[in-house]
Amino acid sequence: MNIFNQFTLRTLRKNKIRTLVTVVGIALSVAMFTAVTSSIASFQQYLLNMEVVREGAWEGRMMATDLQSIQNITADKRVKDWTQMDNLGYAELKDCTNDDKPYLMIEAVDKDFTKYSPITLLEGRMPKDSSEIVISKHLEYNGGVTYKIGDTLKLSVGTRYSKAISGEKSEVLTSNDPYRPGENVKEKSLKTYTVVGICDRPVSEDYSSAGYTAFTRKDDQKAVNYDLFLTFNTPEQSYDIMTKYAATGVYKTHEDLLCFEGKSTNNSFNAILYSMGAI
Amino acid sequence: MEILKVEHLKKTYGEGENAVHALDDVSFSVEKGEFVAIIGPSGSGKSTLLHILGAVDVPTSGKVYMGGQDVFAQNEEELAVFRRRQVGLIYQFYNLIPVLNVRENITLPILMDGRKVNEKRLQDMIHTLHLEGREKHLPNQLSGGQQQRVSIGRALMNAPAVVLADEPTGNLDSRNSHEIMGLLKESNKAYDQTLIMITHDESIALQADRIIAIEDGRITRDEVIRS
Repeated sequence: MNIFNQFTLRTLRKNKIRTLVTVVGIALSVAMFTAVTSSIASFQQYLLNMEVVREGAWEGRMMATDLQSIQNITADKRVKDWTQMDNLGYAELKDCTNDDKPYLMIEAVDKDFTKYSPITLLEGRMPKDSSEIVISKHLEYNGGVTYKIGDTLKLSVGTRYSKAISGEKSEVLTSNDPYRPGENVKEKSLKTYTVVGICDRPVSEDYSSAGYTAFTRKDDQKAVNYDLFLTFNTPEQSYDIMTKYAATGVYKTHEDLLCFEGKSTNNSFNAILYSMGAI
Repeated sequence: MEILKVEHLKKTYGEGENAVHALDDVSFSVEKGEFVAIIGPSGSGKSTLLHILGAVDVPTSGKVYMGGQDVFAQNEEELAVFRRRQVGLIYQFYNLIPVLNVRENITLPILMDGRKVNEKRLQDMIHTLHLEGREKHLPNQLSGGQQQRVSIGRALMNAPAVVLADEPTGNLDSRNSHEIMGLLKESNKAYDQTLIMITHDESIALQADRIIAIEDGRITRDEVIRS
């Protein structure tokens, strides 16, 4: 043993009470530090888990976008993963009591969709093919229209267009556009669905949406537009990445999730969070 | 052969009006094997000079050359090695390590260097210092004189270029003082060991080859007693 170690050990032995008090002090401070950091990490993870359960694990969302934009952004190395929701169109609900939400909005998803955007099933199951459909429960209590599992729906599904004002062409309305008086649905095609499940109001549906979401399974059908739910290798850059590739539609970041991850797109927030951690 | 050279050494504490010039342009040199006594009143800068020579303190300006090498041109690591190998320090109050025994205190510079102890040299040293049978004793089990002898052993064990002694007999009675001086003079004569010693005691200073008197940080007298 070298002379420094010998000196240290003998000094510790010579002053037993001081050594004991020092060891206890170190143990207490390490325990306190561990407890505080564990609590913070645990609480942060709790908030993160709650947010994922509530709103989904997506970090960025492009709404009513086109296939070319999807192709371009998913080729970017900074994009970690994604899932897609295809908007097949809108079907008018005959007996709907909500004048601002008169449609069924048909969205086609694949089996991995719920990885990033939750769907809470209340009854039944998710659709296995494009002839099956899951209806949102709030269609009943908000729209006054009730469907049961096993019901067959024959729907005229088409694209929403705004009312043409003199001199101007009518425009395609998407999930980002609330109901506008005078709008109508064109380019309809008849589709038949069997109701296989009832779900809670999905978080992917905006409160101002003109239609109640109904989910079916994706197949080769061409959609009117697409919603893309993304995760990133560099979540702090999520907004900038989407800005670069979004040619049409609207996009947004899942700011609450990013805050809980410590990867907010707001640098000031991140700086405050890490400063508090350092303190 | 010149073993130590000091050029325009200055040490100032504080700034402006509060500046204290502990050393004020001190220059001298020492030959190998010389026994130099530094005398002066309290606060004259003797200990400051000794600490700078031993690289324990850093000068404000000036140069110190030991064996032709600029001491303060070295980095911290090199200075630590210099202090271990080139200089032997003996203090008035011994400064032994209380948890190390006599053997470990004497061989401390060698052990810190990570080198192996020359057992024959150590035994010769213990014999010369009249510390036989005390090798495993701790400092608190020794008398003042014995502790100072251990301190001398520690200073001489590495055969340094210069031994610096800061009032080595200041804490001892006359009998022990006489004994310590005898040991130091013996190492000076027998091993051609350069010795620079601070003392208040004129009688001890007169045992040296040369006396340097310092007052208010300046050399006021530099006298060869015996050549």
